[in-house]
Amino acid sequence: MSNSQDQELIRRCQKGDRRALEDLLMQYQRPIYNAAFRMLGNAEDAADITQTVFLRAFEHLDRYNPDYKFFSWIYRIAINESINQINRGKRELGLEDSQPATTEGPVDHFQAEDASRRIQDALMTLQEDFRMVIVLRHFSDLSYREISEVLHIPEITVKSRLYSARQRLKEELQEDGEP
Amino acid sequence: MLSNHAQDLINRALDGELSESEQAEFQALLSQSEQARRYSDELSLLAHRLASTPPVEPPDSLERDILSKIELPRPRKWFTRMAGWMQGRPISYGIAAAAGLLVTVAYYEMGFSRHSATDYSSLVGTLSRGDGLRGVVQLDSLEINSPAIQGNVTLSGKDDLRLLRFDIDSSVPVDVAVNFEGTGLDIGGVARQSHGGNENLSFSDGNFTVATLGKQQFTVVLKSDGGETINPGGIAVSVRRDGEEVYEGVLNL
Repeated sequence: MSNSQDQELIRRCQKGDRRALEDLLMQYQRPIYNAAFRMLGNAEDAADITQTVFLRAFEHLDRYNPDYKFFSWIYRIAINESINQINRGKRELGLEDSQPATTEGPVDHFQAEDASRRIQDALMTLQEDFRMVIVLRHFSDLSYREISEVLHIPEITVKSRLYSARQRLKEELQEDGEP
Repeated sequence: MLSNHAQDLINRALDGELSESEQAEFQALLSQSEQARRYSDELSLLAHRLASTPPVEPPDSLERDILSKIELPRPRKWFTRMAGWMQGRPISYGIAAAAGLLVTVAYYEMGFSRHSATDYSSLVGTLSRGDGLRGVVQLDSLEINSPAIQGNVTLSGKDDLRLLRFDIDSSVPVDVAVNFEGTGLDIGGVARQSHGGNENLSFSDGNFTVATLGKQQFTVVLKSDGGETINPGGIAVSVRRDGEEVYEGVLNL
């Protein structure tokens, strides 16, 4: 969905149109949930964060600056809330409650789940600012510029953090016996 | 040890952030350096593994939970909205005062403090054909005939004034969207001729939307903004049902 479509939906939300709210939620609920899940490693916390993100965003919709992309704004809230959650020490590691969205058979499913768990465990060993850039680049598929907008840091910082984060993640997975 | 520049090149290649000339440089680097190839392969493998990680599905109840907790501003009846919109503006004394053309119950009632701005019952009025409307001619019209909505929209005008008259009847809730961006026109006011259903009207620069159900007759007054001439072109009218466009037409200015 383009930013102009988002702006139109927001304008309609500000006028009380719940259908527009449902459209925005349908568009962004899953990506925000996935980003929060990868940041926190816990399904329950990811659901809480996702809910908080949307409640905050719509509570303060009047503060939204249309000069900025809506998705940058809500990703920013999601990242901040995830960091707050980590700092509150409520994090629970593990993928027990997650429901990977696969259509594979049982064996493949377990293999995929195992691989997913290893990736998530390795992610959780990264310091948070490294984890953020990996999540936004590789799981949310944002460009350097978009990551820069979300995190409010220069693109050059995005790149240097990303390169370092990849190196650390690569080493972590190799230590775990991965190629 | 790979140079910082080589590492930067390989990482940006992985992220699809290389220019054409950098792409050539990257290919040259790979062909010349075993170390660069190995580093590139390792990063590609890592990226592949991350991309292969299946997305996680939010709980089914999450969307419902969120929707139940978000309160949006209540949609106001369109005359209430117009009253708020007009409050404090010179035009609040009426489209007739602005255009010197129209007499409506709506506008002169709004000019007096004995009526609150949200008392939309006082705004219900009719466009009366007086001296000011002499010379207004019909410019174009659209006939809407779809299963969801029937009726017509008529465009009339004189000098820097345009009147958009809606006479529509919808059996299901529909959104009638009108786009007049770039025409040099601005909203001058609204007058209702009759009312038999439910509707709300929302405005923004260059367009307005009527969410409607049932039979509606109303006129939207458009006037030249800033005294500039009205640009040639059209006013687009579209009707959406459940977000799907069921009618589209253009009124020529």
